[in-house]
Amino acid sequence: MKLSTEKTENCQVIFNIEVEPPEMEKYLDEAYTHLVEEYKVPGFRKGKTPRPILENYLGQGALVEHALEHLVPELCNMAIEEQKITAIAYPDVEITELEPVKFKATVSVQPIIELGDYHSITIEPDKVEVTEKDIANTMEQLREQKAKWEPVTRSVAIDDMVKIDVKSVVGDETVIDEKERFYMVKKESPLPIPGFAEQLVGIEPGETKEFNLSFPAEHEDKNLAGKNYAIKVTVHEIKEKHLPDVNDDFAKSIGDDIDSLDTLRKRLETNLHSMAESNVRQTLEDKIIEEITKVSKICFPPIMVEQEIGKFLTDMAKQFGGGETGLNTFLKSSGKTLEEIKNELKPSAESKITRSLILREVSQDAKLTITDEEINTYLEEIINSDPAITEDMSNAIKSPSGRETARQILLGKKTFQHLVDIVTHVSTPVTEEKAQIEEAAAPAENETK
Amino acid sequence: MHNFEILRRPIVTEKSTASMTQRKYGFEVVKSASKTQVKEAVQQAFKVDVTKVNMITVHGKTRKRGTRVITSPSWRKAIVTLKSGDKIELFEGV
Repeated sequence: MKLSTEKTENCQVIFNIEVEPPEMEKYLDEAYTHLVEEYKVPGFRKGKTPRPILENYLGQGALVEHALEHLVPELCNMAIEEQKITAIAYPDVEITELEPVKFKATVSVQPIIELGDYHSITIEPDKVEVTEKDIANTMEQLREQKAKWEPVTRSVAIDDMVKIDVKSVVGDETVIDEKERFYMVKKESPLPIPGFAEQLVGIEPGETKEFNLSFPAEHEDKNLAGKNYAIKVTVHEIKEKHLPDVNDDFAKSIGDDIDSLDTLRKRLETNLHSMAESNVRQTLEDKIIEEITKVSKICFPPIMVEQEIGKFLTDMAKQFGGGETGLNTFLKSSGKTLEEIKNELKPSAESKITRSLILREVSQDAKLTITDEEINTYLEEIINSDPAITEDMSNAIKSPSGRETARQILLGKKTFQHLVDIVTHVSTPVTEEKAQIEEAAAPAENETK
Repeated sequence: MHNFEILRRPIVTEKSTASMTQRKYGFEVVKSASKTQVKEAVQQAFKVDVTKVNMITVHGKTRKRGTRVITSPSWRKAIVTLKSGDKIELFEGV
């Protein structure tokens, strides 16, 4: 075997392997012993055909082809062993020549990460702030949700809900013919035709109005742009929106355990605060990863991206019934081809991989570990947090694989905490301990908490 | 009859391949062929020296089909022995 290797940028190693004749002969022989038992050549009993006759009978390439099936994986493994490479997937093989046999095997190897000096990264986390205005906005949204619609006997105004019959005929063709449809009269509503809502304003209940409307010439849909419709509308019912007053009664209607407006306000504030907090945390985490990516050298083979995308697609397929059919339904519903979806997913898959690689590397670098007790408390919390969790489910959560997942989650969290402490320069026990270890240059038994 | 019309087909079977080590090659020949004719035909066709020709009539097999008895045609097989060192390449792959 003649072997030459080249390394590519994205963690792949390419082997150029040429098989030498004596070696090839060995594999051809093997192939013959296999094939001779399989084929019955006229004039010979099974397994008794001499090799030249069998070769002739099956055609030139048959033996070589069969030999390659065994030869390629074996030689790839030999090459991998020889080069001391940890492959993470089966090599991608491309046969370039048959006489003598030459082939090119692309092996994906373990991703390489060289963390840069992430200790010197400084990121100022955004301030967590909840303003009066935010609370007021949320309050307003709640009012909208609890709004009541009450029938009125005046003419149509903006922000009303109306029950209407609509009919529109263009030429001989009836375009719309709807009876007793509810319609929200919203200002500058683009539906069904821009200006429709404004035309309704002022119609008395029970009255019928006829008017012409046309789509603007620059409308997005080329089929509709500039088209003119004659429309006939009959208004049956008009309802007005009544927003509830902000008082204790309103507060009570929001939730059973809220008894006054004050409690509601406080509840909103805490909710908004925790939301803002987690948002800030999220952006901080994203920023950290981004910064670390900048200073570090990270490379991973494309096959990892493929796998990540594959995982996502299987998940999606599961939601659409699972398997091949599920995947097809999903594709149909999204209206894209498999290729397009894959391309779309690529960046997110890549960033996901980068993220997990960095986290793993940092956790190893900082020698973070998760103890069994930590896992236990975490699992207990999950089980206790939801009364709907049954005995079976809690058993599943406590299973070894469940514990492993929990460990991963906790480790991820801890690593992020570690990183956050570093970039914000908060001195916590973890960093101190780490500093001590570094000083002592003896990273032996360090049980970080 | 022309020499080349004498030989009908080479015989490639386990037995015939085995006897090739003794430079014996089998052919189906026309029924009326004589040993001399076969010898000359083989010598001319394959440019080899033939030292011996054995000939056998292979009788057709009979089988019954309903009340009728059907016989497949009988044919003649010639086994030629070549001078030591000679070889017929044709048989290498048929």
